[in-house]
Amino acid sequence: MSATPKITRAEAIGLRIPYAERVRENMVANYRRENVDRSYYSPWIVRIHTDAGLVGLGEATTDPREQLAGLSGRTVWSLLHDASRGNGVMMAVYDLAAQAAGVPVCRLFSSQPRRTIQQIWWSHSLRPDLMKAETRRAIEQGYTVHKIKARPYEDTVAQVAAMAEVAPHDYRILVDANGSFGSPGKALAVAEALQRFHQVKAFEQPIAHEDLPGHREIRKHLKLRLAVHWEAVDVRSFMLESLCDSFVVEDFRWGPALTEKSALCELTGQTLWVENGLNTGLSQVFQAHMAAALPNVEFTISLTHVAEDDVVIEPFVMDRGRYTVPQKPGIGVTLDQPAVDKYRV
Amino acid sequence: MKKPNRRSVLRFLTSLSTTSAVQPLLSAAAAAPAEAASLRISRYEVIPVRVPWAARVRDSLILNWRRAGREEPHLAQTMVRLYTDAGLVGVGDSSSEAAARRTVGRSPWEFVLDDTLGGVLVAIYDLLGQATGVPMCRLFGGSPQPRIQPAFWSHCYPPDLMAAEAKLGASLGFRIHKVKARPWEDAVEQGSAISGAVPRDYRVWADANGFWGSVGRTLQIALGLGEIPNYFAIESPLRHTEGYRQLKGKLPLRLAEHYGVLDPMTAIREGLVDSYVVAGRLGRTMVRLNAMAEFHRMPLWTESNCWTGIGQVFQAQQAAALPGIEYTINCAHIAEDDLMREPFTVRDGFYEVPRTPGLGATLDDNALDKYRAGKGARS
Repeated sequence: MSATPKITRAEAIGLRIPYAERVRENMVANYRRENVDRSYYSPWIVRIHTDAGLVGLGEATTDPREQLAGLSGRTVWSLLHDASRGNGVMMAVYDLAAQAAGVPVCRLFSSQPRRTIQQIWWSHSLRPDLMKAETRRAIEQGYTVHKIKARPYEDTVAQVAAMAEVAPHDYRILVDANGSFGSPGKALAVAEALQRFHQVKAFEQPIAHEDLPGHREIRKHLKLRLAVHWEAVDVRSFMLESLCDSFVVEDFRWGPALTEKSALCELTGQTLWVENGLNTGLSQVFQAHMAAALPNVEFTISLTHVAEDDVVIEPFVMDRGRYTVPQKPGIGVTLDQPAVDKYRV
Repeated sequence: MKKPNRRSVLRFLTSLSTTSAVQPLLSAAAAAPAEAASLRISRYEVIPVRVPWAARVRDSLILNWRRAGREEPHLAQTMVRLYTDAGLVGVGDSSSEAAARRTVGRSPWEFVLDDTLGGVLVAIYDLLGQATGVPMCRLFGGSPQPRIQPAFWSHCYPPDLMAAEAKLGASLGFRIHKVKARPWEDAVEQGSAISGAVPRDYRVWADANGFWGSVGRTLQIALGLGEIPNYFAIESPLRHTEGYRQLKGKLPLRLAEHYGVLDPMTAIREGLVDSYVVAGRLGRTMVRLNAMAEFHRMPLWTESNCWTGIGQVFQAQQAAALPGIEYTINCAHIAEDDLMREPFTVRDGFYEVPRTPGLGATLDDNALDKYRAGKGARS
């Protein structure tokens, strides 16, 4: 064992990965309606080399180059759990630490990690026919839970109706309004209209996060499960008053920060839907490791299936709604170098 | 998109079966580096010890426990050493042979935060710290504090002995002192004696372990203790939620209770207690409670592992990494020996957490020989 590998070099690679062709036009149009002009994801890959020949991989959500300064000469272990250098470096350090320890990343956080986790399919607020096609695709690939965006420019009921044409009875649909339902009354009316579709199980952020009285009202009457974003709400109130069933985590903070959230949810019985690992297979699988280690992570969500490529070699294989976490040392995935070269900025 | 050949092959192989003969091919295709770890626990040694109580408190200690229905003529502990094939030795206390045996042939990494190991987990983390070249606290958190606040501990001694012990605690550098309060001693009288023996910044809390029995009695004693400038808290005056509801807003002191006595969310929602005392599980449970303590601002006072120097240093390492831990409670000073080679030095109320790899503390072989109780066990 090279117990204390030292970092010799660190690099960052900016990528620009277009949305998958089948959904690109619709997604671009949707984002444009929300004043976002974007047709691609732009993750950064962090690659850290050690004197022991280990290579750690991470995905950063923003340009991590400044955070690489001073890494050379440090031991991997001196950086463990250190969030000060951003999520990409932190992930790569965990990859290296787990490789050096000879264990999968999940073992750095738990002695009894789960073997499988529940990954869910994701769709923007696509046209009903496209939503139906995406549902079919998700089912073919082994997914059983599907989160969709609900937006005013599409009829949510029509979207769900299209999905229900191809979805089995036990397929679960989570409707994320990102606040667009506007009021408790509208949210409850949409819920009522969706009632005939047994697949619809939950609402995410039906109204503005800061509207605490509105959430109390919705909670009192909504028969669906309710999720809100951890980083946007007054979590303490939502915990003490049990105003939601689940928290969506999208703060891109790994390690102890995610562990703490899971621990707090253990206390209240609420669950986490983690969408920190969005844009490449690296963070997607890393996220799966963390979910395996933390008992209250219910779902993980990524966007790699709506991108042209996930830039890792290993396929993300789903079986009856579950993903089996790699058992190799480290994260357990390998960068697809030709893909990286193709999408490198 | 058309994928590279290697990737297509992998996808095809994976689609066949995860349990089929193609699995080795998959592994080879995306293999781990050759330097993958091989750290293994090769054997263990379990050493039972009986350490007499320190002469200065022995009679009072034994009598106190007897009054509470317990026979504790000495400190009975089980120390453990885990050995690895790489020549590392990890130490722990409060261990069982069964737990130690479970680790043999396994990597210490298989036991991260494993609550079921008891004090053997201390030895596991000692090994991990040594193997990785970092102090144990770095394995629990990314930015540990360099020092922590340990608390001195006394049973319910007569006032003059309580004063002497508080004076000893202060002279040893402690600034926090937990004392037991029992019906057979007057807690306020004890407090007055302590107050006369220590500086004003020496802070004391009284632990009733439920012996005060009623809200009225609790209020009476707490109001008396509140008059003594050194007292800042009481612990476990009662053992039922309704009593805590009645105490709310009426106490002049902070209120602590053992985690698990009250429903935690009820206590948090209603603001029934200010701090939690935690004992028992050392791994994931402690991490979980730390999160609760930080988020809900209910600091932890830990006595999970407090009877030997080894346990005290482990508590310190955890407290350094887990900001929800406010104080660690230390009892090794009431025994004749703390079984540790290094001194547990407290200055101005703080203990500097060892910075050497692992626990940063070692078992004292001479002391083990002296206090060994029976052959123990080894693999």
